[in-house]
Amino acid sequence: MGDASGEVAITDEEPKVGVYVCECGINISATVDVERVAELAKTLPNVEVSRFYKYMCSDPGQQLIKNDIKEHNLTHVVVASCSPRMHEPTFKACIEEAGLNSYCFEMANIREQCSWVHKDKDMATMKAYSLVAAAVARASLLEPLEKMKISVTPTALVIGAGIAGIQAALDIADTGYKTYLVERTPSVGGRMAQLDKTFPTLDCSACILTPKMVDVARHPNIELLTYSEVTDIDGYVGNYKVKVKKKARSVDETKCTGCGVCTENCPVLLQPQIYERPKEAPEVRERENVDELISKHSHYEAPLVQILLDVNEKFRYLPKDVLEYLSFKLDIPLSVIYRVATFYKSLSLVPRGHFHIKVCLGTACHVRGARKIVDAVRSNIADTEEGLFSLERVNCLGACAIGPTLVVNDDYHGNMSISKVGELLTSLETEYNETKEEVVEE
Amino acid sequence: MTDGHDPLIVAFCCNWCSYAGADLAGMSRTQYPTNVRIIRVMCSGMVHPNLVIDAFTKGADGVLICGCHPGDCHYIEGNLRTEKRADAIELMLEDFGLEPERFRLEWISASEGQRFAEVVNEMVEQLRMLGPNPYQT
Ligand code: SF4
Ligand code: FES
Repeated sequence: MGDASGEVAITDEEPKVGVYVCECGINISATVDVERVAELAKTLPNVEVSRFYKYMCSDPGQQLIKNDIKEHNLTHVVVASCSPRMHEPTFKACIEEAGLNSYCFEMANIREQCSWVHKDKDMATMKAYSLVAAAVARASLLEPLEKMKISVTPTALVIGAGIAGIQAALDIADTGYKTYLVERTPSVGGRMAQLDKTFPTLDCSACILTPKMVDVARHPNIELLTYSEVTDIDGYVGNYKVKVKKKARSVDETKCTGCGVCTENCPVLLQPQIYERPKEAPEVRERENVDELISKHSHYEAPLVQILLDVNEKFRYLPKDVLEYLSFKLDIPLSVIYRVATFYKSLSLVPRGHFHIKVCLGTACHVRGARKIVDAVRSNIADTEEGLFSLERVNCLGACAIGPTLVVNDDYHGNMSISKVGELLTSLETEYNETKEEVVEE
Repeated sequence: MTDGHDPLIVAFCCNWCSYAGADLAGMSRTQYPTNVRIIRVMCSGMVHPNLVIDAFTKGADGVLICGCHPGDCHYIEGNLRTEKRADAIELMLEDFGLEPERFRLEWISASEGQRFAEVVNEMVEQLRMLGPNPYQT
């Protein structure tokens, strides 16, 4: 930006606008009568000079503008030519060289948005003229602007210290910037710390992650804020103000060496009780029936899976109280029961509907539009009676040849389509309502 | 333009997508009627409802706001604001006794020159049927 003193001060004077209409060879002049536009523009308020020329952006074209600025003391310039996305920078630089503020410039787009999109010469000419008139009106109101420099705080904030956040913080810090790394939980690491291997190379997850966790804690440019949350972000690019809530850590951070002795003396005991075998027989629904299920399989050495299958069939899922009761009765830790219960696909920890629908999303079904089937089922069951239908997505039902496939309880339905889903679900619903009525009648 | 009324459309186009879209219509020589006057704004979100009402009270037969598709706005959520404003504008038009069809909001990306021409064509048709803006003196 040139220095302000060299520029023409315009604020108190009447604006003097120069208008330059470009022919662009024949690109504009073929459909717009540029001479007429330039002539008409002379009558517009504030217009001092108005000219047309073959190629405004060429050196002689630009020179024309520069000479006029000097000669006529122009305060503003309007060029009617191509799109400002093309030559705005060119002309801005041009008038700046002639001592005008580059913001006292306006462009009328009479090529891309006029001569190239219209055929009728009269109408295109009138449109070009009205675009020029608008540009002149706007130009007369333009005030010179100064470019300013605003200092920025060369600091970065990374939110979330999973592997991505850790790596980002390390990369930024390595380039020499101070970096704040905020993590909501007490430890960095995120999801990756819960994994054993990573896809697709099956590399050891911890072997990649842990060295980076250490780096991030030790890096001189990184300030680690764990167990903290961002509560407010304010400001703008380069000058943000961020509020971070550091949750109480109940130890003196400067003195803590991480020895862990405090845990032995901690007065608060938070043991996850639910994973142990209950000490007393817990309350359970339909105790007799559950007892019967247990005794039915008592000849097995390890009856748990069989019992769980039966429970699942009876209640259509594994109720929590029943699992606790099983833990007590069979003397198996609840954690083991959960391990088994979550391993098998046929067991469910949430209630399933009277009709449990499984939609296959295996490759074969997927390419035949299984996603649409899932959507169709979902929208069809949306306003049915609660507990009537439930939906599960599975990966391969072993019936690829008839895909897209869905299974209702144990019945397979192949070659599904959106309309077939609708028919099937309606017939199931009617069937269910009929049986319900029969029961009532009896 | 044959049947008497020749409507005037003021189109606010955001610099980053829709203005470039209109430029593309030019570069591909897609023809549309001369009834539209494009005003370049940095973001569709800066078109205050008053500007639209101003345009109408000063005689525009139709007003078109074009912005980037949702999610593409150069200023992140400018066009979402535009969408909300469009609802307000429609309500205001009713109060002014103007048909809501005179106003239109369209998402036009830099690659949709064709679409821009289509929209202008449709709007000109529509406005011909509606006749001149009653505020025209
Ligand atoms: S200024 Fe634009 S319209 Fe004129 S000759 Fe140059 S490219 Fe063509
Ligand atoms: S920049 Fe195009 S709508 Fe905001």
